[in-house]
Amino acid sequence: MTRSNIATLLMAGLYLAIIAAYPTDLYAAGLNTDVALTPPEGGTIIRVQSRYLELSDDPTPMGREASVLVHPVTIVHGLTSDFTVLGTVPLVYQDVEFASGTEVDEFGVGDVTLLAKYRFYQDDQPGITTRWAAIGGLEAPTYDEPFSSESVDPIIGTVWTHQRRDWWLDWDVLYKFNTGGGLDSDDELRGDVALSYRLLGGESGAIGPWGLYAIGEINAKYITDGSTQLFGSPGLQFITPRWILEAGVQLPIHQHMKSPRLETDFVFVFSLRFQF
Amino acid sequence: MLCKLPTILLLLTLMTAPALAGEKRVTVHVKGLACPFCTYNLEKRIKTLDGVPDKPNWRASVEKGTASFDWKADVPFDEDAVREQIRKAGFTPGKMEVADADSRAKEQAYQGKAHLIEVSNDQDKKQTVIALQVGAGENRRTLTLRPAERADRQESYATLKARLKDAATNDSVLVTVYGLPADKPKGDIILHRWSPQRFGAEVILNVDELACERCSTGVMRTVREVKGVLHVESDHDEDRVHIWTQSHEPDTAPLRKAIEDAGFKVTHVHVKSVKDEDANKHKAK
Repeated sequence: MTRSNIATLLMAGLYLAIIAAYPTDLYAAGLNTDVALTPPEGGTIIRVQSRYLELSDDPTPMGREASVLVHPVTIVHGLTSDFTVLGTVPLVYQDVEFASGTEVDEFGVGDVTLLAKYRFYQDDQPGITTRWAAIGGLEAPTYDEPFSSESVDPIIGTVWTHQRRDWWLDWDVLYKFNTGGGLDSDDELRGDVALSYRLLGGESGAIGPWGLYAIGEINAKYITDGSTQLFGSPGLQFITPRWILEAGVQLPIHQHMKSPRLETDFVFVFSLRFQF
Repeated sequence: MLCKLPTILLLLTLMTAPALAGEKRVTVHVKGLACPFCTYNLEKRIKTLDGVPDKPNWRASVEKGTASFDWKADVPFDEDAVREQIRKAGFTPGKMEVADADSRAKEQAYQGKAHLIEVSNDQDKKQTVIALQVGAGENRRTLTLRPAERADRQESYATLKARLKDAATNDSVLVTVYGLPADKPKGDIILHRWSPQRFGAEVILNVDELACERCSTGVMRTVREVKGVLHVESDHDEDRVHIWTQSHEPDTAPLRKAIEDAGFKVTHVHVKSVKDEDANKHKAK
């Protein structure tokens, strides 16, 4: 395949199929699932994540296989104890290999997500909390081809968390209205469930309370062109009062992607959260 | 013989925190505190208070759902401000205790006799609760013992529970207790040998926000004045006041009024017959 062919594909938006496979995971406050917990009034959390994806099974004659490394950087700020704003900027590097042997490396900045989260329900008991929040915002274009949808895409959703000392459960549902053209005209519905269980824990004089948690998630996605994805996502979290180190993998349980979208082979996730 | 004398060594260790003379030590129970990452939210907000020194000896415990910190000697303690900051951190404030910061360092162990009040099951927490009465007169207090998270306490609790397996209510046990103020008498304490059999009923009142020992003492003093009341114990950890009455069918209205006159709200009243319960326990033995 020649460069001019690739340029034609770019014009047709087919490259976008590569990053369109994972955008809503990027601003999840947990590993892949959101949480209804929010920083305190005036509190700020920075999260730096690395997500490495491999995609294949190209239904088009291009025979694309892609390796993608995304670094979503998220800043969360608590305006009040129940109202939070957050922004995510994904730095993306992708390597696309075509059946013809052509390989194209690209680096860029994906669309910026700006969200507000309002916690409308909270029930606190000793060692237990249940919280429910509404999410709304948009994905703003950076116009950095091929990583930007070049459209403003509204996002709405809700997230629920039930947390106990030894385990907690989160679920979220998010809907993104894609207003762009081509592949970015299809809306996206995402639902996630995460269960965390404390394997080890203690209270150290040096770092305070800490815990090592096993996390298991189910991540489901439906795109209005008929594409569906279901992932099982095991992981580990090490949590201290100031920072959280977490790592996990997303493995496909079921995938049915409409052409020209690629299927995801796996996703490695590594994340560091720090609050100040 | 009903009264056996199991010898028990019970160690209740305490964490101590260095503090400047005159400073207060504040312990707050925080509802909803369930993960380590959340504790920093609380620390950040609490440290904005004027009364909190630069190095407040901050301690947060997810296990206990508490946070404790020092309070400057020259700043009046402001409970409302502390509660406000807990809310701003995204949590719900619970009970609050304020003590001299250096009082914990003065707490010492004593060994003495105690009376077994009861061994009961806490259905909610699925654990066995052992209630002991130690001390006499003004020094008398009730110890409610539960399995603790710390390994050293668990062992002591397990030993105590095993030793009390065949003990009856009102049996004497010998305990070594860490955590009583140094000015309390040491050595064997002569206990007031009260017998449950002479009580007609036990009235258990749930009291909203019975937050500190001083509050408990005030309530007990008021309730003792009510006619027909023989004995009063309070448990500010559980927000409960236990009243033993002469009558088998006590009128709970004056008891409720006495507590409410002391400035506390009674949320629930439960009356149980001591005689029947005690008879059943002995029958079972």
